[in-house]
Amino acid sequence: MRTENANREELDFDDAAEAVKERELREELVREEEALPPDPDALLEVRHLKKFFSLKKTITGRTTVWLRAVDDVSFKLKAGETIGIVGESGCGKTTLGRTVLKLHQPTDGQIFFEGQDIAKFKPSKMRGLRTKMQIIFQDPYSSLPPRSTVGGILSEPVKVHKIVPKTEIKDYVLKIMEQCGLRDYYYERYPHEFSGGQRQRICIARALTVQPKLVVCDEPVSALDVSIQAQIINLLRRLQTTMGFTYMFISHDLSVVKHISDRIGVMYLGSMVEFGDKKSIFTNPLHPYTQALFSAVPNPNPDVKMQRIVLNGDIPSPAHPPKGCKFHTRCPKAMEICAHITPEYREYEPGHFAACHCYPQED
Amino acid sequence: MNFKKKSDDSAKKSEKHYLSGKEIRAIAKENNKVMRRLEKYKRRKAPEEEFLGEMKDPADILEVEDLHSYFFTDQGVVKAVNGVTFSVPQGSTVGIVGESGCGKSVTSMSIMRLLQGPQGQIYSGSIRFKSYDFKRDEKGKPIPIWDDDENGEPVYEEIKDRHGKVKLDKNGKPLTERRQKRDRYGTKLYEMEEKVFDIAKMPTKEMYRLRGRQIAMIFQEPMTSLNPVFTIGNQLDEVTLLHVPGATKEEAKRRSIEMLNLVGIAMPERVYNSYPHELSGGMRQRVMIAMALEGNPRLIIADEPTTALDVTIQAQILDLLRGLKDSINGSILLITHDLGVIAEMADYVVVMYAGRIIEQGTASEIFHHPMHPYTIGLQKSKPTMDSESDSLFNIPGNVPNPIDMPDYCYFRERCSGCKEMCYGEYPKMVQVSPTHWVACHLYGGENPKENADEN
Repeated sequence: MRTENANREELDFDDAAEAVKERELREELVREEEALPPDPDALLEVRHLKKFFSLKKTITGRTTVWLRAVDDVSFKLKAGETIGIVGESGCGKTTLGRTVLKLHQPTDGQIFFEGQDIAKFKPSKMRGLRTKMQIIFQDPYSSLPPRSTVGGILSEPVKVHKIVPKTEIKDYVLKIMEQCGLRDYYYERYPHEFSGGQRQRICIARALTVQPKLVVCDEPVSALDVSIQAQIINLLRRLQTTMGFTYMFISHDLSVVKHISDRIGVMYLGSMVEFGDKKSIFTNPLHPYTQALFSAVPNPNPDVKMQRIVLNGDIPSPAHPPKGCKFHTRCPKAMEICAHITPEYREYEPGHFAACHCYPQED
Repeated sequence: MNFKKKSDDSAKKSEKHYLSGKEIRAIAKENNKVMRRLEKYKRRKAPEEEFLGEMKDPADILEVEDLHSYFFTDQGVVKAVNGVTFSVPQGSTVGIVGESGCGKSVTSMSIMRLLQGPQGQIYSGSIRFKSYDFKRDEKGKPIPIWDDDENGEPVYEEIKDRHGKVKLDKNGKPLTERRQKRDRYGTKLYEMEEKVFDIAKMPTKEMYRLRGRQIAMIFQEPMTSLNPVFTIGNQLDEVTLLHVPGATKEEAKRRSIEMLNLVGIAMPERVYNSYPHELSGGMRQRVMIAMALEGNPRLIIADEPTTALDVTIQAQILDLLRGLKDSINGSILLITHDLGVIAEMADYVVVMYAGRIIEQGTASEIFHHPMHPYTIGLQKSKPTMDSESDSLFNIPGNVPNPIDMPDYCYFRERCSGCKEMCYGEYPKMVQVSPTHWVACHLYGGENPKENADEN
């Protein structure tokens, strides 16, 4: 056994040495970048964020198989803007949203929120920041406690964070409810008495009660009907203009994301493959995955027969992602280099990033 | 909490009516009577003539006429499908759209006779389906098509067992049987005849002749509709073993693998031996489609076939369905809430709202000249990839309570184009073009065409 290993090591020695050198170089670059101060314009800046989950452990507790749910994601988000995160199920959109809010402890990377690196903050220190960041969950049926009334649900965060004096809580909550289009006699009702759209309004109201700056919307409309979807999207937009929220809008529905976002990030198997302005990303999608994703959206016009790029196969398991470019197994434009070298995530147009070998480096 | 109700007391009362125990018992008693009668009707033994019928239009394969499917609950009768009439022509795709709770799934379940009894029942109406059925001899056995030689002499072949060995009789001579014609997948063929069944009148036992064989269904959630404790192969083979008389296991396996091949599964042998949990969502949905094709059906009902899938996988499945329709020469009844999917797949579109059809027509009529305010609103409220607008159009309010439906137009409260007439009775279907029908008072009157153009 040992001799076999030794032989292999000898054979691969050159490659291994090169790999070590490369890794060291990259680590040095990352360290340099880490030292850079955060962008003062950005409300949220995420640098090389990683979140791995351990799947298999040895007896000694060492993890042998990691699930790389979020693997080296970086982006910036200005105050008052909306970033849309799109991708197939299992690509790590939700994990990214939760890690940004520190609902998951990040494995590596930096999260700057208002200039502070919150990635290393302890939970007790995070509590003070919780009023500034909130989340709206996907399923309005399971994210509301069934045993408390709407009033109870909405006044709890106000009490915990001491937003207003105790005597004014009810008036304050009723005001929030009115903003979200909820009638005031809903105050003493229970969640099961409401339809999906109304429940989602309650969830939105709950997020608003602490007057946050950043709201992560994790698929807020995908469980709702089309006509109710429009109501909720309009509500979210109206609240943004009146209260100046910054949204991180996670969804698999491209048309909804396009409607609501200023910037869009496309994720595939834990990595951000493309990021940019809504306009530039929709008029000029660079990454083949983005192109395929956009062409796969059914068009509600029976006369337009679209030139569709149909991807073969399924999304690979994130526990064993393909080597090189993660997309090369399904990519219609795959080249030989894609199977070996991970493409670099770089800026092709101002504010438009992509990671693909199709576009040569302009150095 | 000492929160006093203020001025909204009346509003609260009118919005939700709570039933007393006495009322609930009275409703339950009434319901039990009806349910028992309908259940008895389903279990009865009936001669075939009783549920045979005639198609109104010979080009149709399925005609649903004035279908009422009710659910008898203790709160009252939910009229989930309330007078639905439409037809599926041979070789075409008909799409049913609507929001959740509009009765589109209940319509498809009624066609399959899969409503959860005794609460769910087809109350009245007829569902006529043009089906192939085995021609039977006096003893009731299906008549095989023999594969004779050129002179018309019967040909005999040896019977083989599971391992491919020839079966022998007591004297050691090989057993033989007359050779039967087979299709390209190796399944034995029988003589068929065309019959028109009225599904709503059929006893449950007779439904086995159609279900899975002539009408197949693809369900929404592929994980919950495949059995987790059996292999894919086991579940696929079952269809052939049940529906082809005298089919052997090898024949069934060969057919299953062919079907898996047909739906574009790369390694059918491997999938055949695996369990549902080992496959991804797209693969499972392909297996469901293969299972539907197994019986060589004339009509495939696809109930939200892509809702649980990602866009890229959805594109694959839609491409597959479109290709299959031509290769099996069947019709598809596609049920979905996604207007984009309907636009791409369907030739005819049926729009449902609160258990009724409010508009039906060809796909281009519905998408380019929608008539009903609900159809118009539904299309405007969906953000599209090439629209540039700040605010979405939204239809205010919610679907009315299904237990006590109003007697006026169900859409009145949410409608923007209300007229005085809307306070009257429920609007009738108005024909605006040879294929386009709409149920709205805006298009009633003497010259519906003109009215339509104004809007």
